Amino acid sequence: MSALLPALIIVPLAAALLVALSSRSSARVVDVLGNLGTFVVLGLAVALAVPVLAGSVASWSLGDASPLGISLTVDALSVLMLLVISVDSVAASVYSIAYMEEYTSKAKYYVLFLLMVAGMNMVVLGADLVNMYVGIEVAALSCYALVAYGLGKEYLEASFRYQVLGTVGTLCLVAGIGLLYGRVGTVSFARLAASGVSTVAGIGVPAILILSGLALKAAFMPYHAWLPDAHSTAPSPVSAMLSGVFVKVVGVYGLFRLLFVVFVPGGVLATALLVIAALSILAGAFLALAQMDMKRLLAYHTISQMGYVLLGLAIGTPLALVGALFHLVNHALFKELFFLGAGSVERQAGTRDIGKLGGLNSRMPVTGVTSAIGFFSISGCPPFNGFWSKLIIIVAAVQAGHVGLGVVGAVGAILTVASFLKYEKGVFFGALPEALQNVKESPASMWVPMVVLAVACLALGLAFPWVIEYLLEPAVSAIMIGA
Amino acid sequence: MNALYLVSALLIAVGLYGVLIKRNLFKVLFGIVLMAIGVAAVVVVSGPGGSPADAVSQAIGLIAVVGGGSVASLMVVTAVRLHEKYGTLDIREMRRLKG
Amino acid sequence: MDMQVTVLLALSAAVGVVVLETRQMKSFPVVAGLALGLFAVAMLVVGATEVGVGGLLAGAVLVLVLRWGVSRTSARDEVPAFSGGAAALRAAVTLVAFIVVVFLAASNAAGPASVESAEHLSGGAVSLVREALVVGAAAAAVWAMLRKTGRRDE
Repeated sequence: MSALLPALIIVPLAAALLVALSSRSSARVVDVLGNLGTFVVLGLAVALAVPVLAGSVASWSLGDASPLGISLTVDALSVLMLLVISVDSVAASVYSIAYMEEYTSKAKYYVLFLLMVAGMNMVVLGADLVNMYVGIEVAALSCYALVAYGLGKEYLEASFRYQVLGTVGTLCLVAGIGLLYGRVGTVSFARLAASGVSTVAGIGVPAILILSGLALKAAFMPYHAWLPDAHSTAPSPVSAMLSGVFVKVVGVYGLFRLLFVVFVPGGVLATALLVIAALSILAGAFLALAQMDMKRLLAYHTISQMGYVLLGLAIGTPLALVGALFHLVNHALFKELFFLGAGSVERQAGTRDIGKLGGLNSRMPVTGVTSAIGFFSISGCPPFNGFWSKLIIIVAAVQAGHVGLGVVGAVGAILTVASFLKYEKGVFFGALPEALQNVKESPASMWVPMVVLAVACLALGLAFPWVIEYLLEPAVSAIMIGA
Repeated sequence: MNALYLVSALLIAVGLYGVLIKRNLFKVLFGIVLMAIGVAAVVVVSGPGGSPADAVSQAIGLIAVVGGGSVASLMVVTAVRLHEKYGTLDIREMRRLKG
Repeated sequence: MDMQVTVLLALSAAVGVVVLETRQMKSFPVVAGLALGLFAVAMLVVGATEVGVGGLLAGAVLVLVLRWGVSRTSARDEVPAFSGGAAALRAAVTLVAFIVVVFLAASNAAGPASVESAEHLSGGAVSLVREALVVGAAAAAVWAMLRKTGRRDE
């Protein structure tokens, strides 16, 4: 089983290489190779998940022991993240078959996409901060190029700004990791968890640096400036991956790993996290409400929903952590669904402006229905998945004595419903404008992934006790090792 | 040892100046490079053990340098393509996005 | 030895300022490489050989890439120096705040940790695999961004 660990990184890398070598072949070959890569990764992730969720652990290393060599280790949290990454990347890569036809050189796209997947897998499998960081770098570099993929003015501009801000974030993170090492003598997660690091003097500065770096990567307030531009100008499957997976893997995951180790709930740093979470929930939702561009609205929303995840994380009780992880998974599903849907609308109708759209339910029924399911999920409507995750987080907040934060969560939820009502009404309901009379539904390779995601939203909502017991609680136990 | 910290921080500060205040894209990206080497210097200097410097600190410092250099190269390419589209390297001229 | 390293790094910072202020883009790449070279030498002197060598290599590559970049754009930095206004004020304040914070943190820092490294290890060639991964990703990104057009409808 431990061979699965390097495989999860080597397979996407190998697939990327194969695609690069076939860049002169037909688009069919490139599509097949690219998607083969993501499907195999999904298979590997599932194969790994079964034993790990049942309780086994595994590790693998190349060269010297951590962290100078490449050291990978897997537990329930890693495997949960792997599942999220691989499900979302399969959805996006299948969607890309048709969507990326309008861009040049699909081969280069798939190469970057697979590199991003390899990097993200390395992040969640890394046994120490250094290996995690290398994964972040690889994924980020691919992302910068993917955001600029259209090579138009806005994309390049958004990408450059993202590169600058993203690198400042990674440098903060590196500085924090280096200083932390200087203080405590280790960067391995296992050793950090075992050693009661949070009581070491002088740990505040590295902790703040690490927090700032990760928060920038996750686009929490007030580090969110790059996100709306990057997510809205990138090609839609890339935006879906960015909002659905990337900000979680390279941002929030690190915080989960360091919870109880460096960030102790109840302490000063955790309080800072709570403030950031509350700000993100409210400001993200408010700003989303004002947007007329479909993708910008969705992008601002990501900031808000990630605030919920952070809220659960910072409260730190087992219930709060279950809620946080559940929301992370749910958001990965419905946000991906929304971005793919927005991409479909833009491709078929030619615009992303909510003011110019309307009544698309009649012309794009599948996109409309799946989008509606996404709406119910994100609005926290039973029996969909979003209802349970938001409820759990709010209840956990109140239970832990943070009634004010519970209220923030509820207000955020109301704002969320408001902006998505605007989204749904403006795009799918109402009158169909003259210009859009001839719009047709997108091709099957684009709506099939959306249907699968929508079904998943419903399934996770209906089966939530099973989800909590078998998927989330093992991950929470893995996080609480450091407690 | 404080002097080493301070001079490394000075490198980062100069880099930050480049990123925040300069408008030419190449200068902004060079600011990032300076920040990266400044961070690498801080990391190396604050590791345990004297000379040869601690292996893990070096590994972290090296990644900072390699990472910073890699992104800088990508930034150069992005800047060149931006120049093709806008005819200028002035970051203030590239305000099509509202942010 | 500390003194030498401090001087080298300070020189690197000074050259960095020169690079940022120059109006002649033709000399930009080489002077930038000089700043990186000074840093690399400082790292070699302090005993961080990996970082020093890495810095030299990165410097060399960066000089080449910058020369290419400058050759494809203008030879002079025509961009006006200071623009004033709210954004510039915010930037200046951030910079000053950063400097203040760093000085405060440095004066509280107890110097290099007396902590024994829990990882009793010496250098490994495998760490080069990691660097290769990062460089590979950057190379792929550059390869993708150098294509002629982005979208088919252009």
